[in-house]
Amino acid sequence: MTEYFGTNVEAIFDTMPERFRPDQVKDVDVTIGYDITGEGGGKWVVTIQQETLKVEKISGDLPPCSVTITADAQTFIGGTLGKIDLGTALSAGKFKVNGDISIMTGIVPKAFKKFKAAGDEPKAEELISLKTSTSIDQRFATGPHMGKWFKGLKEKKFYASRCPSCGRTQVPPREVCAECVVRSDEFIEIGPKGTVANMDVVYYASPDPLTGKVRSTPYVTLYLWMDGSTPGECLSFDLNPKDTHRIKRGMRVRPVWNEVRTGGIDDLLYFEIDD
Amino acid sequence: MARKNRNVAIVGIGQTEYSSHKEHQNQPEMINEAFRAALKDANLTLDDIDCIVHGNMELFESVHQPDLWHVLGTGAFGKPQFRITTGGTTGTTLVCAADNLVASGMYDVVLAIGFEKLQEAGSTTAGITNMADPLWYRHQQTGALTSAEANNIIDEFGEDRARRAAMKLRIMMDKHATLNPRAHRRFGLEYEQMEDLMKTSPPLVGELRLIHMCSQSDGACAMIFACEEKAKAITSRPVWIRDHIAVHKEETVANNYAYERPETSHHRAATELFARNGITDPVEYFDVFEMYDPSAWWGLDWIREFLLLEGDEHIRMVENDELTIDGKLPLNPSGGVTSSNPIGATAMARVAEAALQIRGDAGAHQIKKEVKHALASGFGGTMWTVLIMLEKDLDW
Repeated sequence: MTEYFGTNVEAIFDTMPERFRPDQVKDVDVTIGYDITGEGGGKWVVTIQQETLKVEKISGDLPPCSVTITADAQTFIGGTLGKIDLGTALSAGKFKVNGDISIMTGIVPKAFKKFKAAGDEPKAEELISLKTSTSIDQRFATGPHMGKWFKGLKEKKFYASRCPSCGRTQVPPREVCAECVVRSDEFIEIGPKGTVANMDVVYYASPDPLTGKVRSTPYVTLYLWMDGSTPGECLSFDLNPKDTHRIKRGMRVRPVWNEVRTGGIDDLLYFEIDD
Repeated sequence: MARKNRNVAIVGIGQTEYSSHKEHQNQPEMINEAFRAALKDANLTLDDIDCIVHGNMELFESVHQPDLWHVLGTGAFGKPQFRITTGGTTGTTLVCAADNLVASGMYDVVLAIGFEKLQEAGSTTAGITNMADPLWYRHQQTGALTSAEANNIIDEFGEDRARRAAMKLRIMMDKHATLNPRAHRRFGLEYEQMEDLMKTSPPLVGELRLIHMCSQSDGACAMIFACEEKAKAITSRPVWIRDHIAVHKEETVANNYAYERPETSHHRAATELFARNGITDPVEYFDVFEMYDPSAWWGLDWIREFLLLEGDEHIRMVENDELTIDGKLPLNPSGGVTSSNPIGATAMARVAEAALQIRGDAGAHQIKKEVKHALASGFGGTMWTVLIMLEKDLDW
């Protein structure tokens, strides 16, 4: 086998069973295809299912997998050892991920202990890093305008403030119209339906700031032109996950309410396609 | 109307290399590297500095009041020091603050330093999300990642033309970055890879792919500002700050993506700044534009916003190579923000790089023709803008 960084591709796959951590992959059911190209390459399929691991070397084409990695042997080994920055290789198109990338960023790092090339012992000089995590409870006052908004949600109603000078609506309501620099204390009821003005289909798994939990992807954030509001303003909210693959700009959507409403953001579950 | 009591020049510039990790230095050491480089560049010592302005992204390193710890690196012990933290615009707000402090007559020589050491604090995307209104939009935020602008560009110009223009701009920025030894990401991309990258670069949000987005970098940038009298004594090549403007909008995320798009803070800033300085044709007037381009899609759109272009003029400028280092108006010869993004230093690096171009000191990424008039921008929050005009000659 051709060697890079003092090891070869076979060694990475051969050591997978001994590096596997079944306790880290409860409820995981994925297949990962590896197409390692060039000299020293080969094709493998790694299956993680019911806390067991199967590593198969494949001749011929890879079968369909939950995610497929394509990289040359040098990039693959360097990335595995941390000698090549995979983010850079990914951006430059040298390390390709087809399918659900969250398997590579979320599941694989947990499922296996780090691969170490023979002779790749820790150096004498150790860099010390300290890891801490903190959780801080927060309370924010709404003021009367956002108070009106949340009280409305409790009653399944959307309220906008309207500028007495230019007439534009603000959703959620704001205390002043910043364009006209006047107080905007008049409220009108808008919605409950709206039109998708713009949207983000999010594949990047980021933490939900309200819970700290990483969101499952893909999910859709809608920017809605609510019925009865002016077109320069929009309300952003989540789309019902069942509509993720059907939603398009210009579509009509309706709100889906939580049965138990307390006057908070959770009163509204999401919007869904109104068909 | 903005008015200066006296002229202000940039007389010293120091930048670290920008990279993904700087584990060999702690924060004061990293800052000190840029600080010393700026002093050396200006041939000054710490005794010559009257005041220090310090800034980065609020809490990105999870350090409250880092300016206190960083006195070790900034040399601010016993001196007046201000801390500025205005999100992505921090670097340019630092320049505005230093400009104001000198122009007012309060101090003759001011050193400003912007930095970021992101590897120390986990997820910036999680951190940046706290910028949004905590009562509503915070829940929806995915940091600075969005496809909404790309969707608009595609609506206006069609999928194929829009995607090609964004990717061409990205590759152009990478080509510039390969000339800049301080740039963090230098992939060596070729225009032939355009089709492949449009398909294979992993999608982050909608049309926004990993290759389009800026990096997270570590690094620091320091600049020294002096009044006219001192500047002329310190250097034979001062770079004059002709004017600066900062424009904010309401802190609402969604309005930028509304059915009818409101005027951007970029457009408003450019309109006002050019009008009060009598600039009628910015593409003709400026010799370089260092633009804060967080992603290739935003970058593409903002060329039109900042240069007050209409229709598809900005797309044509990309298609016709007018924004390359040898083009009509070179854009980000440094490689820009998609190549290096040490956030609190990012916007300042735009001004520093623009000033280096005017001085002729940019090295391998120096524009070949003479640079007399430069424009630099900063961007932050959900939509706010700082725009700064630099001049080689004190003749406006």
